[in-house]
Amino acid sequence: MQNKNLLNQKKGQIGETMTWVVATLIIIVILFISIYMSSLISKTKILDSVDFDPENLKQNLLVKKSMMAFVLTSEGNLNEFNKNLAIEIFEKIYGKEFYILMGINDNLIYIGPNPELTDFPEEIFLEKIKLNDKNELNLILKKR
Amino acid sequence: MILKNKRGAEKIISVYWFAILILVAGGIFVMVANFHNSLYDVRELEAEIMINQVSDCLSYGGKLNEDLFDENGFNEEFKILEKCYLNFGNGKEEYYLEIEFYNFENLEESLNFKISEGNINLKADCEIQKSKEYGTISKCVEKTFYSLDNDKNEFFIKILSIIRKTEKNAK
Repeated sequence: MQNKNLLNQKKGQIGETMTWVVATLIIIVILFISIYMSSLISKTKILDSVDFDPENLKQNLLVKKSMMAFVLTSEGNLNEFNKNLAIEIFEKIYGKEFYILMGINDNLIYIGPNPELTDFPEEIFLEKIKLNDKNELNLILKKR
Repeated sequence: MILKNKRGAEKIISVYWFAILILVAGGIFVMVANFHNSLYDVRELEAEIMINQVSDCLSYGGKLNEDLFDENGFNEEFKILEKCYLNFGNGKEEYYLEIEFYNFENLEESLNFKISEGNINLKADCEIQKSKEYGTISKCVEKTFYSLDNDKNEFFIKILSIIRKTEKNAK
């Protein structure tokens, strides 16, 4: 009778110890996963110009320069948008990477391919050039 | 007898909890140290800044810098570092800058005029980066813009900027 009681106690102790061992193993595994995750996250510490974007829309000096040259090329008629020339210039430079929305004031049109109707591409760059008192040339590049 | 056993078990469990506490605290310390010690990679940003600086001195208001040309066409003596106020300092091996000019009609074939400065060997890293991005080799940024000369001839200008500086930006 006493032997049976001791055996039961021993089984109980083994069971309890096993619980703690498993719990310890789980804690250690979770800890190692967390350490690994933190090392992965630390590899994403890369800064580029998107991180210095104050209003979600990034200015691009080179786009601005190209727009200035575009205005100079189509000089003489600042009230009408020269779509063919815009395609020649901007589609060649940015066509592979972006959808290009361009025009005077609010009359913006896609030069080059349009995005799908179900596709809402993110605006990456927005540039403006004031042509005269009334008109403004706008260019928006959206990520493909 | 049972009471004594219980007291012993409680002591063992409190030691165990203490050990777990140290383990968890140590783990959190390792995680924070790991994140804090990894370097910020600003090479792409640096390359973009260099491109902006160079584009600003090559073209202003849509027109190319007059110093780029002489009576025979492009000025082979154009000193890009001097004209663009760039100073690679002692780390000249860490940078490469290349400017190519293209005819308006053909963006595939560059004109016979190229400006380059720095360590040309870094260009090989750009080819490797095209297939897969590696943190431990140079970062390359290439940008193109459109500009006119004084006679309204149209050009595309492609600027390639490469920064190595691996030790300072990536482990």
